Amino acid sequence: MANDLKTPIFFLVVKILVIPLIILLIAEAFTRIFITSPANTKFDSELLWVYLPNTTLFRSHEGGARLKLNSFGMNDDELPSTKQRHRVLVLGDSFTLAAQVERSRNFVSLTNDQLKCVRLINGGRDALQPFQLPIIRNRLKEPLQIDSILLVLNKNDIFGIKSKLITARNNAGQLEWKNITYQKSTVRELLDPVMRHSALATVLTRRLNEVTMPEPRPKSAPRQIDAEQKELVAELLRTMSSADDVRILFLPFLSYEEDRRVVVVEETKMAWNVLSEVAGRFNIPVVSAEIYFKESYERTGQPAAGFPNQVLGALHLNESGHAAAAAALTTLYGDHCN
Amino acid sequence: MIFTSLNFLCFFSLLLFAVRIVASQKVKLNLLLFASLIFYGAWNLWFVPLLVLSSTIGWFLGQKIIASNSAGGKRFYLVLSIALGLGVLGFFKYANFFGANIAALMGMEWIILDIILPVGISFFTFQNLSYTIDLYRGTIKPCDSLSKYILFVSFFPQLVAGPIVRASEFLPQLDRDIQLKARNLLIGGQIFLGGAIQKVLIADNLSGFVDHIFSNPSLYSGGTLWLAMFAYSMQIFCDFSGYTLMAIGAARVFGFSLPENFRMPYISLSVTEFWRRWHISLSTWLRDYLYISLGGNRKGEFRTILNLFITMLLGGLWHGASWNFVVWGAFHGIGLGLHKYWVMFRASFLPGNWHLTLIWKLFSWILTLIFCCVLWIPFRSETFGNSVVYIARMFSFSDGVRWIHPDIILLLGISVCWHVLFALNSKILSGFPTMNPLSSRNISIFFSILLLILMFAPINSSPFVYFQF
Repeated sequence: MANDLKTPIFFLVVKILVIPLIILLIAEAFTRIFITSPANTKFDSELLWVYLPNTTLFRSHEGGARLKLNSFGMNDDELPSTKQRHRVLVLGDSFTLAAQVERSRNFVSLTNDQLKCVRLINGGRDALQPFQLPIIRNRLKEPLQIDSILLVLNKNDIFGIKSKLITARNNAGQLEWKNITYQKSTVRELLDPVMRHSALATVLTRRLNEVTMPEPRPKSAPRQIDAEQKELVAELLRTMSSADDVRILFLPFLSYEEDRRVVVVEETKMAWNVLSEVAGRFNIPVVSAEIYFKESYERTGQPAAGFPNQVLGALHLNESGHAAAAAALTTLYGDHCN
Repeated sequence: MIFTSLNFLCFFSLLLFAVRIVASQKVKLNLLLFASLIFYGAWNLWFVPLLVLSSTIGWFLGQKIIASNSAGGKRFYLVLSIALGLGVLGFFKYANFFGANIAALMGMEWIILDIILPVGISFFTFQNLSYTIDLYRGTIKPCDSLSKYILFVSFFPQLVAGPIVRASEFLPQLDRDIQLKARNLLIGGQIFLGGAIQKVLIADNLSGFVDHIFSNPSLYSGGTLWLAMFAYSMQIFCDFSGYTLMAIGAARVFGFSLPENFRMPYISLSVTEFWRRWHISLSTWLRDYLYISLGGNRKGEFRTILNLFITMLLGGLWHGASWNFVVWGAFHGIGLGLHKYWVMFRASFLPGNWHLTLIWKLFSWILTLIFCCVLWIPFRSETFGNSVVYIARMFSFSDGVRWIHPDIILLLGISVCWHVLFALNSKILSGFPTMNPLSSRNISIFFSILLLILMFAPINSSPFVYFQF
């Protein structure tokens, strides 16, 4: 009698434990194949996080390229130790990282294919903040034997440059970058190892993040760039160009309207005006990809940015956009190769 | 308060608890009534009096119809009830539409009235009307209690988007004991979960893509427009039938049965069959109270076809005050008429069983599917002009942005499999719901569903499509 009672309960407990475990394993495999690779970042006290070297980067919600990062945690091939071409470190945010397209199709690789005199090296990083540009440059310059810098900026870099977190005024009243030191949180300490080993945990954590994130800003009139932001842009370009030869590629945000009309987003116009003016002050060559994006759309009928199921014309560059950006870079570095 | 929100979960749990601890049947009914009014008030508190008043008038006129000794008196109260019901509906839903069109015809300008459409007004108006018409026809007994009647109209699972419940189906259920039984809880819970999956995993994930394409169809390639049309067809089905399943499930938990509203409409072999499978509670309502009242098929072939057309035209207008819905309804009316003629023609001139062959069935299915899906374009488009542009670009396979996403194709594939499975063997589905929640199969299903919802349900669930009607 006792056995009769015990057996079903035992099996029930086993069932309740084993079945979910099997489903979790199936879900993990499914996630790795179709959705994302496990998180591939580690904590960094200056940059908050950095990519782990030699890991896989795969996100299917845009594009779906499966990329292998190099030993520096960059979306680029391993560099030979002996330098054959002029090396340009390309610094920018996720537009530069280009996790959405195959490596051979991003604008860094396409430019390398077209210009045999320079070797662009992809130093792109998700959610890059402008204040991180000098830090990344300083870290990579020596090991990668960098000769010059290419900054890839968009309107978000100009509008987002103002932050109490990263700037302060010195005694002379000038704006300065603050040195930031991040502390590793307990949650992060707990989650990081799990997320590095489980794609499923990565997805669920990202979803939890989405739930706790504030509602997106409702669409309103375009923001304005104030004098302080302009001053910060100047400070950034001064810092970057004081030690290196710097060039800038500006990626515009376009809006695609009826009858194949393409309109430049108002904030993009403002950001471009400020950037081109400040860059002129420091004699930094700068090019906007606007006409290249428009020409590409005219020719192919496909917008430069956006992936199906995302906002058309916004978010990251697709293959058309990368090809157009590469065309802009070919112009920017054309004189270098003549 | 939508079914897929945390608010609803709290509301429902509290209600369950309250009904569980109360012993008196009368108090239980009043609790359900009170909860239904809170549920409705969560959208807009100011419309609760409208709901109560409209139900009270419906009940009162019903009593008058019964109390009237003369046929003329009965007819008077019926006409009054129809006039009041349609008058209120007309004011809230159609005042601006008709006003603007009449003003345009007269070359005048219409100042848009700032009218907020009460959620579910089309549904509860139809329930009120069916009650008084049925009383007039003598097919039901009058409801003896006003509070029971208001509960019939306002019962929260079906209040805002149906199914449209008939008094003859629901009022007798209010005379039975309300007891929370484990069996009902399990079955209701499973039906509710089934509906939630359709809504959050399929409909909500299709809506992002559909919204982009329909907002500016002139931008996209013909192929993309075809895909978006099929995606919307599946979105509206999963959204509406998902809502209905959740309504049926929630009602079942309290021991109430609500009528079936969908029966895999996209496997239909004709438009007539489509309307036997799509929004069944509306199509049978229109048949019983409008089509038959117009004369149905009793006045010759031409009148039958005309009656069908008028019924569908008004059915289209019921969905919303826009020419898009009128066009949608009109074309369905034409489709039904053509099918009726075709059936008569076939019987007279093409005898035999050739129409039962697989190849003919396949042809009929494709034709019906495309007809119904193309007609969703005016139904979904923001303006009549957009519908025209959409259809023109789709059939000319115009060049444009190719926005074809594998996720959408995968979701459509899953939905099609669901339909095919049902078409092949509905017995497979009758295996659900089941009484043993701890069987291996059920543990697997529940855990998988939970994981799928955690992974794929959009963070901000879209409102149900049919709430706007």
